[in-house]
Amino acid sequence: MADGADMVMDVAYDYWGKRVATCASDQMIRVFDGQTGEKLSEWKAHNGSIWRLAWMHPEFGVALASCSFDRKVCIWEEVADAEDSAAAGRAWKLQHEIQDARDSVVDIDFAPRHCGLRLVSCGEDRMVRVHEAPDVVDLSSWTLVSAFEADGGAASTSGRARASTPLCVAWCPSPSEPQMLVVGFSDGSVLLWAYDELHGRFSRAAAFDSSSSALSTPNPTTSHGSGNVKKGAEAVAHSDCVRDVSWAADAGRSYQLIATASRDQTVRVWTLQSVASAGTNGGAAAAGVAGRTWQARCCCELAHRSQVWRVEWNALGSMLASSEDDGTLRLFRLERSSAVWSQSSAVQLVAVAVE
Amino acid sequence: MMARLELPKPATAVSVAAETESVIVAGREMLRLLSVSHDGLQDVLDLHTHTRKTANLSSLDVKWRPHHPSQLATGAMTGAILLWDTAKRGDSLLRTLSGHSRAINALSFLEREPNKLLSASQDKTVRLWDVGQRLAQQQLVFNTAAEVRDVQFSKHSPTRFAVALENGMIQVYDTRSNKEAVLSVQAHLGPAFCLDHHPADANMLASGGSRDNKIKVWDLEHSSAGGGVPGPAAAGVAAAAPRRGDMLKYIDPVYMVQTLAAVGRLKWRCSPSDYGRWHIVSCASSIDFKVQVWDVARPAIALMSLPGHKDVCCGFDFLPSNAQRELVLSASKDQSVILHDLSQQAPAYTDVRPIAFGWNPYDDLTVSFSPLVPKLRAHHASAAPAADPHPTAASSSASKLAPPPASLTAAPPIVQRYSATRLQSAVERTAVVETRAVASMLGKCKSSSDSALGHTRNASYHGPPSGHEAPSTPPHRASLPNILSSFQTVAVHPAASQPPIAPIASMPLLPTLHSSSSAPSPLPASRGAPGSAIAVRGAACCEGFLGAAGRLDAAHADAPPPRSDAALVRQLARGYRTHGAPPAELCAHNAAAASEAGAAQLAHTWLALHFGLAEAASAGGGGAAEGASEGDLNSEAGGGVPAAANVPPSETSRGSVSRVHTPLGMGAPHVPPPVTPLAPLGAFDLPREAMPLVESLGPSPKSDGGSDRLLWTSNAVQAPIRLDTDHEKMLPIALPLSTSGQQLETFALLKPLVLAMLDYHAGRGDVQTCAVVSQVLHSVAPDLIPKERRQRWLLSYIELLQRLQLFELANAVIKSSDIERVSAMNTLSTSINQQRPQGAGCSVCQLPVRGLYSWCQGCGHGGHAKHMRTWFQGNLECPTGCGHRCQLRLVPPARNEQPYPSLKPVDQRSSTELKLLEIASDCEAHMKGPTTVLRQL
Repeated sequence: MADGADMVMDVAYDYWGKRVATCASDQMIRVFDGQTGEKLSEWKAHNGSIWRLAWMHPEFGVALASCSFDRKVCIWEEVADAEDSAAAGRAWKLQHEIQDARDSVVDIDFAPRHCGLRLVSCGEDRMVRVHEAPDVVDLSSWTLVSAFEADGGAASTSGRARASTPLCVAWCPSPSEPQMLVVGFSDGSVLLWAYDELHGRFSRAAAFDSSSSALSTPNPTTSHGSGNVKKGAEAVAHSDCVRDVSWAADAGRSYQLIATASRDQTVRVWTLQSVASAGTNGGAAAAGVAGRTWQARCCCELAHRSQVWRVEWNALGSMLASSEDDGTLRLFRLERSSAVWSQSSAVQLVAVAVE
Repeated sequence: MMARLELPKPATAVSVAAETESVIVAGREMLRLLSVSHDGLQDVLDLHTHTRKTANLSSLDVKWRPHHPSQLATGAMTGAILLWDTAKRGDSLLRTLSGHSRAINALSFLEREPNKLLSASQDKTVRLWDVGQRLAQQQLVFNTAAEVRDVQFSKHSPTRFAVALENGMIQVYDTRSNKEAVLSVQAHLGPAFCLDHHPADANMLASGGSRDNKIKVWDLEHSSAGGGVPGPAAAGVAAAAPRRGDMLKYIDPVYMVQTLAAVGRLKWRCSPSDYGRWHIVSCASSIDFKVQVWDVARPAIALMSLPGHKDVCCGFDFLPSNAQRELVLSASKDQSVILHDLSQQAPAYTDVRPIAFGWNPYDDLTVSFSPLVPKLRAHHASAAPAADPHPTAASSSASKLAPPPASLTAAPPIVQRYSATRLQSAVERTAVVETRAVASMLGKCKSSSDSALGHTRNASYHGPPSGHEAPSTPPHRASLPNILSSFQTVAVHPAASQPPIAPIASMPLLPTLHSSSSAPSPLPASRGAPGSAIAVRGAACCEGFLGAAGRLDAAHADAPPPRSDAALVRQLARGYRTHGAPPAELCAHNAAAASEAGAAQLAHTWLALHFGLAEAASAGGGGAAEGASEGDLNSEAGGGVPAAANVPPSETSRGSVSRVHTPLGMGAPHVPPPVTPLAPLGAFDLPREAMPLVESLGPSPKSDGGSDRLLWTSNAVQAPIRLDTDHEKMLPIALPLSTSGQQLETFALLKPLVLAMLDYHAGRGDVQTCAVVSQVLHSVAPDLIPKERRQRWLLSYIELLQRLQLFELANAVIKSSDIERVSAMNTLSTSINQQRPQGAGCSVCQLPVRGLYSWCQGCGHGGHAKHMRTWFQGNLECPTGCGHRCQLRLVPPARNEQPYPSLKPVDQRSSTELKLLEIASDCEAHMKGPTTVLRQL
């Protein structure tokens, strides 16, 4: 029988970079030693192609989450056999299956450590769900914290029936910001959700709009709280579906950096800034989470030759890698002449074609 | 979705007449005739209004009678079979066939003899009817073991039919004998809901299960031959044996598709071309509202998903297809009928990413590429039905259909690891050729004519097989399709002597061994300059890929390899000091550390800071600001004194500055030795003004010649750089500075510059510089940087250090922080991360340690807890002989009820004693959660 072990869907390093996990269309997860390439373990994880993997922060244990075509999100934990702690003794145990989704789950991401053990997933049923393990020691119990239809409130206000599904999601890694999620959609829009501590739910905080990028003056594409986005012109980040989104590590910048990859053959790099604290030089800006307004601006666009599938920042946020449909991997790096990103919309990144 | 029609009632089944393309939809109290045109779907007739009878009106299945374009049969919930004629005026209902006692689940006409009708019922029987005669007769009753969910005549042999039973069996019967099944296969775990004979291959049968959610394809010929009882005669003989026992086959399916939900109905795709012969269309009886198209050879992903329904799809049928279109009509419980066009659907491969990658914290990239994806796409594009104007006859039942092309199966994915930094530094100069080289490694080399690429083809030997160059797959690769082939590119510095790039600073390293003569600005030049020279370099670079380091130009072999940002951060983190000396001293020290690490720009920054602070200090101390700066410059000009030595200019009159310096020596007699002058000093523009930072603030202190050379050599740097824990003493921070208001005033002038500098580094994402500078300056100017901002930097920096496994350094930052949230990080959890010493064997018995492992925090050596305990009963020094005087402070075993009582966050500075912690290393039981004591790293 053909087992279809032929398409690797995702590659993910663990937090320390010691091990690599891959997931494939043959429904297997494989874990390799990151240095030697030795295969440490493999197991059948799903009843469908596995789309993405995410490693848990090691503080919570050695565990992986996987999401699949079979509508499940599975939490796998490495448990050591009692006696033999050698390589043969490693076993991955299914700790939990999250079966809330009603369609293929296409992306998952763990929250940064300070947010606790939270996992966001988005799928073709247009829902973004946030699950949490209330007891971080017990990986086998997860509760649904928040779920919202990620079609955006804009669709209803503009009356335009968008058949857009979320394709990718990323969690804000910064310990200094509130919990935020950025979601990329199949219609090219990229939207930001921020956790509203008062109401205990996520609310739409900003829409990414590439049309305002050329202007140096801020465009009021953002909104307060619950998504009363500027009506009329839809904020569109890309002209085609957004394949991947990556949030750079908070390297002490006064703004957040987000990269989005799209089928329209571009990668766009966005700066996300809290408008309230932007002018005051970060002074005593009260961290009133609910009242903050976010503003996203496209600070540069990186052209590619074919559709871009993946984009990811490195651990320092100093380099950006993107992978293209034709098998090209590109590395980008902030060019040295651009001292201040936030002021220059013409930031140039040096493209380095690798493959 | 092409067209949609709303129905008044939920549908249960749909059938399309092959000749007329008229559609009949059955449902609960509904039987409607629809027509398909290019406008879409039209509701033509409600058959229920054309009969006087009102009973039996809920149907579970409906089938058109072949070759009788207006006649159809429905199977009712009550067990009656109704024959209809849509063309008949008046009452459309022709006849009612009764016999079944429970609901009819499925009907099947025989294509060649449209008089023959099979009905499958919940009453565990299948009945064969002859509907051709005036009075329809029941011919035979086949009693089965369980409720019959589906029945279908074989499309090739008119005497055979297959049934799907609720006990999971698939049985094949012969219409001439109702005694015993010809063949029985325990096909599914739960009920089998549906089956379909392959239209071209008589022996292929697909069945769908409801509990195991699987579609299985069976080879009936193979299985019956294996059973040795083909044909009804043999079946009759076997009937003497206990029923079904002998006939039960335990055969494996030829293909299996794991679907998402209970398979409600399935059909082989009616594809006009060979492409699609092995596709199965299915719909689920629960959960999944989409009609899915599966390729049995690639079962993991549905080839297509036809959306649109809001409830379970209950039935679908194909319209006659041609080269332009391939229509599927689906009916659903959501009271709608939808027309899909398969030829317009993009296969799932267009939404499958062929390439994926991941970073690790050390800037290595692991990339996977699945060459199969583009191949499949190409295959689909070339073989899609629309592209095939001549559909082959579907009657070749003798010859088995060809399986999917072998070329599609032999395309294992490639998973490789790269060092981003090395790739970058290698590729920056050779972008053109490199691109092709790796493309060929990925099996997609476009040009084989370029002679300069000779070596790159060799490269594909170690790499994955190239598409046309090396069709023979290396055996290990073939057997292990997902093997992670990690090869690291060798650092290559091609002929042009361009200095390597300092990772963070993105500027030439200072201490390069080459004289950087006419070095072009590396990045733009390489991008803009194609040509043969670069191509040759690219070839050399590809040799590097092969690991043929020996062929490299020896002149460049000793060039320092480029480092990743992470490596630089690591080195700097170890080198930097943030406390323990006056800020000016610390700046000088950190400048030395940065320059040793090769980060020239950072070194400049620190140096500038140092002079600024020293200036301020001297302004406060002696009131001789000008003299100080003069003195600095003099000493500078006098002999290129290293920065550390720059701090105390030789004039002893400025006592404050001298005091600043003395603690750095830590009582050791050595003053950093003067160093031989290196560069032309004029090139190194030391600040002459009171605001010395201007120089380093320039975004690119790019310079030509040797102006960026180091001012100190490494051995001069050694002394201040050592972070000797033994010598740690809390020094009066900013002792000379805090006494004077004037110096603060002087420093105030620096503020905007410092802030601008920090902004610059922050903007580049260099959180390390920001965090360390802010820490150092905090003692001088506590309110220089807003607390919020410092906290942000510190938190990020700590996170970074932890990710790089520099736990002790991260802890030092935490401990020394004055910000509550940062310093409270140690109290948040009880887990301690520590880098396990290398080679965690016991230092005493040299054996690997299982169980309790204890080690010295100072020298990192340790071993079995027992052994260490005994050793330190008689010894003071480390058992390895490293000379460290470890101090044993064992956890009393008696107090084990309170586990690990002495475990506290590791504090490097708090005491000069170094504790020997005893920590359970068999942490399997504690491997997770905040109660974890140790993570094995």
